[in-house]
Amino acid sequence: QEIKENELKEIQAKVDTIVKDSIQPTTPKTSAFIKENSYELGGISVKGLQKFEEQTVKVFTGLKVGQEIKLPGDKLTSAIKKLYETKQFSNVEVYISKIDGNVAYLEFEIEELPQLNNVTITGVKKNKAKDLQSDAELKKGAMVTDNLIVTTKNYFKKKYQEKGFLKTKVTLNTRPDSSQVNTVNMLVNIDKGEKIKIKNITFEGNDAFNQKKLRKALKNTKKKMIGRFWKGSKYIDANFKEDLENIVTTYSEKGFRDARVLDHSMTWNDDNTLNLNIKVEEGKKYLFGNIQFLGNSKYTDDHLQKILRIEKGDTYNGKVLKERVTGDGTPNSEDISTLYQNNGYLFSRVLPVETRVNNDSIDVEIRIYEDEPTKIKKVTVNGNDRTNDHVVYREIRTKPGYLYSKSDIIRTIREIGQLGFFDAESITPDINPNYQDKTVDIDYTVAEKGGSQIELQGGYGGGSFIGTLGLSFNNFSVRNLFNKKAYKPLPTGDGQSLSLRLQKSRYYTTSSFSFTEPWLGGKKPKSLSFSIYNSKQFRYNYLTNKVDKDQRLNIIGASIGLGQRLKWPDNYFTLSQSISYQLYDLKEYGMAIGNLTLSNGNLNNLAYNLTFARSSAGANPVFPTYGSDFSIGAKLTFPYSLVNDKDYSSLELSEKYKWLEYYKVSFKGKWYTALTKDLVVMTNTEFGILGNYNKELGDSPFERYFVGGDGMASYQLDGRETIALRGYENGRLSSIDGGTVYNKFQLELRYPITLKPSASIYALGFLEAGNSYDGFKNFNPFQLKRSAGLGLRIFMPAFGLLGIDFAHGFDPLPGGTEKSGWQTHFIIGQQF
Amino acid sequence: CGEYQKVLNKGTVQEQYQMATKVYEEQKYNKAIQLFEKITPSYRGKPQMERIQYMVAQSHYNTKLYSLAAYYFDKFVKNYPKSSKVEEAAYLSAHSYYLASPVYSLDQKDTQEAITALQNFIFKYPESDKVIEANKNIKELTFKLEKKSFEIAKQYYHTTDYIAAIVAFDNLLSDYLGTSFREEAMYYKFKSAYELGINSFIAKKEDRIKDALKSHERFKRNYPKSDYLNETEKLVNNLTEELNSLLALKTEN
Repeated sequence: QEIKENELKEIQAKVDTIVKDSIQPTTPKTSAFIKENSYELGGISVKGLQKFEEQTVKVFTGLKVGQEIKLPGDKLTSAIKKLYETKQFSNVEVYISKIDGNVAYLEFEIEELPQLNNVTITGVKKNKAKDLQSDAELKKGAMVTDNLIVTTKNYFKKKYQEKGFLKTKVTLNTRPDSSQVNTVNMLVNIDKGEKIKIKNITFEGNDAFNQKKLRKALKNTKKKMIGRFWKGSKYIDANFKEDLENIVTTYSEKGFRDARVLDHSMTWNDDNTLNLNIKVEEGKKYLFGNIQFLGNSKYTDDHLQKILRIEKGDTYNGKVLKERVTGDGTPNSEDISTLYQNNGYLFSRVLPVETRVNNDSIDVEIRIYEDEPTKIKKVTVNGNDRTNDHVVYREIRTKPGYLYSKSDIIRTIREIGQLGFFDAESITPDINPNYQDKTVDIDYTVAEKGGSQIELQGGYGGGSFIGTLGLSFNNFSVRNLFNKKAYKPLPTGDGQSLSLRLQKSRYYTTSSFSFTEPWLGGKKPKSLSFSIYNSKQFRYNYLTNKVDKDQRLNIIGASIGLGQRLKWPDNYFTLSQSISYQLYDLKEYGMAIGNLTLSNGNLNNLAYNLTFARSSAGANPVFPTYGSDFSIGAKLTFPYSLVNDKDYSSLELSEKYKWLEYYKVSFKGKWYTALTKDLVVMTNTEFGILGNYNKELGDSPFERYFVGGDGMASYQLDGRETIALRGYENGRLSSIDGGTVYNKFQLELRYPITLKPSASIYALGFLEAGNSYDGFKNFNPFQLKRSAGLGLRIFMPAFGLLGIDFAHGFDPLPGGTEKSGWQTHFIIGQQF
Repeated sequence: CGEYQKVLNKGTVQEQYQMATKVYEEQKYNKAIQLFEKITPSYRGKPQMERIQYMVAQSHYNTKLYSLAAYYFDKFVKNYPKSSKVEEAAYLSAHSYYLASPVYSLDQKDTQEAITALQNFIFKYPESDKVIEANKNIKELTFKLEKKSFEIAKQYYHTTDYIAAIVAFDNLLSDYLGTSFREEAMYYKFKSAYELGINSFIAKKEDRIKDALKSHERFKRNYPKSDYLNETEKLVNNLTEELNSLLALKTEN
C-alpha cells in the first residue's frame, strides 16, 4: 500500500505498549517511518509536564540521544515501563514527532499523578482521625492513585466494621489544592452509625446438640447478655465466618463427621441489634473402625499405637486423630509425626487417611513415608550484631554431623532466649533441607536486645544527700576492656555479666562488685562467679544532724562460686556451689542481735552453699509458657560449737556469735502451664528451714526468714531472707526476730498484653498462702495465711521489672483478730 | 544555632534546602541530615534531588554511619546512572559496606554485601584506579568469612564435640576451596577424628579409627612438609596400634 511522501511526514505514529497495528506498514523510503526498523534517536520531547522537569523525565526513560532504537521495540517498551515504575505518572503515551532520514524524534505525553497534600477526616474525634491517618499510611507527598483511594476507603470501612459498627459509611473525595502544583487534598467523611449488637442467635436442624451448646461453640460471636464484659456482643463478619467453622469442628469432635452449616441468615431489629439464624445438618454419628499403620519400619505398630491412643470403637474425632498423627502445634506435642521428626526423620510424612465408611464406623490408615534419617550439615546464626559467635553457638543443641531433631531446635530456641541477650519472642530457625544428600542446614535468626542497666540517682534522705551509681551489664566482654575499638559504647558480646554499685551519703558508704563468666575457659558450661561487698556506716544523730565517726559498723563480704550443668538425672540439671564470707566489725555501734544489743566486737559468717536445680521453663525468660524450674539448696557453716568445747551459756554476746553457725535447707518449685495460647498458669511451692547444731546455742539470730509483703529485700545487716506473700504487710507474718521455718504455695494466672522486646507487659491474678514459724516444733503446713489479688508487670530491658499488685489478705496478722484486708504492693527489679 | 532551628522548624522548602547545603559544606553533617530528611519529599523527581541524594549519602559516610551510607550511595547509583558521580558513588557504596563489616565473630551480613558490591564495582569499572584497593578489600573480607567458619569449627573441637567438629571443618574446606586455613583445618579435622576414634565405644571404634587414618593420609598428601606432622605421626602410630589390637581381638573371637 503506497502512501504519498508529503503525507508521510505528517503521520504521527502512535506507539503503545500493546498496540502495534496503528502504524501503517510502508515501503522503504528515506524519511518514511518503517515499522520495526532501527533508527537513531534524534531527540526526546515531553508534553504534559506540571511539576516535573523535562530533563528528569528524560532520565527516567533511560533513553539516550544518539542511540540506536527500534520502533516499536523493546527499548521503547522498557522506557514506558520505567516511567510507570516510578509511580509518578498515571498515563504515558509515545509518539514519533519527526522522522528525518534515519533519525527519529520521539515525543512522550505524560500525565502526572497528583500528590497528596492535606488529609481531613471528619465524623470521628480529632485524635482518632490522626491515628487513622497514620494507620492508613496517608503521608503527605504520597502519589494519589485510584488504587490508593479504593484501598483507603475500604481500610477505614473495615476498621469500623471490625469494631461492630456494621453500618459504617465512608465517603472519600479529592480536591485539587491550589497552593501547590498538581497536588490534591483528601476529604474523608466517616459515618460510623450505631454500634450493632447481636440480640439473639438461633439454630435450626440441631438435634444432638442443644442451642446453648451450639452458642457456646461460637467462640467470638455472642449474643447480648447482662454481665458479659470479657467478650462483647458485637457482630464482626470475619469472626462469625470463623465461628461457623467452629460449629463444624464442635460437631466433628463428637463423631458428627459430616456435620455442616447449610445456611445462615441475619435479620435486623429496630433497636440497632440483629438476630442470627444458623441452619445446620448434623449427619450421622460415627465411631472409629479399624486402625492400621502402613509403611513403618523404624517403630512397631504397638509403639505407634501408644502414641495414637485411639481404639476401635471410640467416638470418631477427626481433630484428635489429626493432632495425634501430625501434631497440635505446641512444642510438647506427642504425636507420630513429632516422634519421627525428633529422631532424624526430617523427610518423613505421616498422613491419616479414612479408607472406608462402614455403616457408622470409619476405618483409618496411618500412612507413613519414613524416608531416610537426616543429618545436620551446616548450622549458622544470623543477626548477632553485638554478641560473639562463640556465646551463641555453645548454646545450640543442633550440631553438624548429628541427626536432625525438632525437639533440639525447640530447646535451642529456649536456651538462646534464656541468655537474655536476644529478643526471646523472635528467635526463628530456618530449616533448609537438601533432598539429594539427606542433610539439612539450620540457620537461626536472632535479634539483639539491650540488657544493660544503668542506675544513677541522687536524693535527699535522713537529713543528708544520698547518691547512687549502679551499672549492670549482662553481656560484657572483659578481654576487650583495654581494646579501644570495642567500646560501642562498652565492650560487649562475650556473655559475661558484671555489675557495680556505689552508694554514698554523709554517714554511710556501700560499694559492691560482682562478675560472672558462664563458660569458664570456653570448654564446658562451668560458670564462675565472684562478688565483693563493702559497707561502712557511722552513728548518725537525727536530732543534732551530726555524724559521730567514733561509732561505726563495717561489713565486708565476699563470695566465690562455681556452677556446672549436669548430664544426670537429665541435662536440664545444674549444680552450683559457693563459699561466702562476711565480717561484721563493730565499734561502739549497738547492733540488735535478737533481743540483745552488741556494741563492740567482730562477727564472722562463713558459709558453704550448694544448690541442685533443674530449669526447663521457657521460651521467654520474662514470660515462660511451659516447663518448670525447681531447686533444692543448702547453706551451712562449720559446727564450731560442737568441736571447741566452749560453755556457751556463760559467754559474752561477741564471743557467742564470733563465728555464726547454722544450716539452712530450702526447696523451691515452679511450674508453667499454658491453658490457651496466651493464658499461662504458674504454680509455685516453697519451703525453707533454718536449723542449729547446738541446742545450747540455739537458732542463729542471723539468716532468718521474714514472710509477707512484696518480697523486696531491703538493706539489712543480718543476712535475712525476705519472702513475698502478698495481701500482708512486709515481713509481718514472721515474729519480730524472724521465723526459722516457712512455706508458701502460689497459683498465678498470667495473661500477656504485649511481649515486645522494648517492653513486655502482662496482667496477673493470683491465689497464695504461706506462713512463717518459730522452730520446727511449731511448723504446721496447714496453718496458712491466705490471700488473693490482681496485678500487672512491666518489664523493660533498661529498667528491669516494675509491677503493682492489689492483694487481699483473708487472715489476720499474728496476734491480731481482724483480717489483713486490701494491700497494695509495688515491685521493682525482681520477679516472683 | 538559632537560625538553624528556625529554618528546620518553620522555614520554607527553599530555605531549608539552602540551609542544608550550607551546613553540609560547613561539615555539620548531623544537622544536614535532619534538614535533608525534611525536604526529600518535596524535591522528589526534581533535578536538585540528584545533588540532595549524593549529599545525604556523603553525610552518613562522614558521620561514620557506614551501613546507611552504603544504602544511600547504592540508591544514588540506581537512581542516577548517568550522573557524573556515579563511579565515585558506586565505589563509596561498596567501600561503606566494607567499613561497616564487623569483627568476624559477629553477623557478617555487611561483609557479604561488601564483597558483592566490590565485585560489581570491579566488573563495571575495570579501569578505575580504585580496583587495586577493591581487590585488596575483597581478599580481606573473604579471609574474615573463612576465619569465622574456622573459629566456629574450632569451637566444636575445643568443646570436645568431635563429630560436629569434623563436619564443620569439612564445611569450611568445601565452602572456601583455596582458604588460607586449609592446612590448619585439615590438621584439626584429623585431631578431631583421632579423638573420636581413640575414645570411641567398641562398636564404632574400627570405622572411626579408619576414618581418622584416612583423614591423616589426605592431610599428609596435601602438606608433606607441615610442621604439624611431627605431632600427628605419633598420633597415627597410636591409631594403628589400637586398630591392630582391635583386629587381633576380632580374629580371636
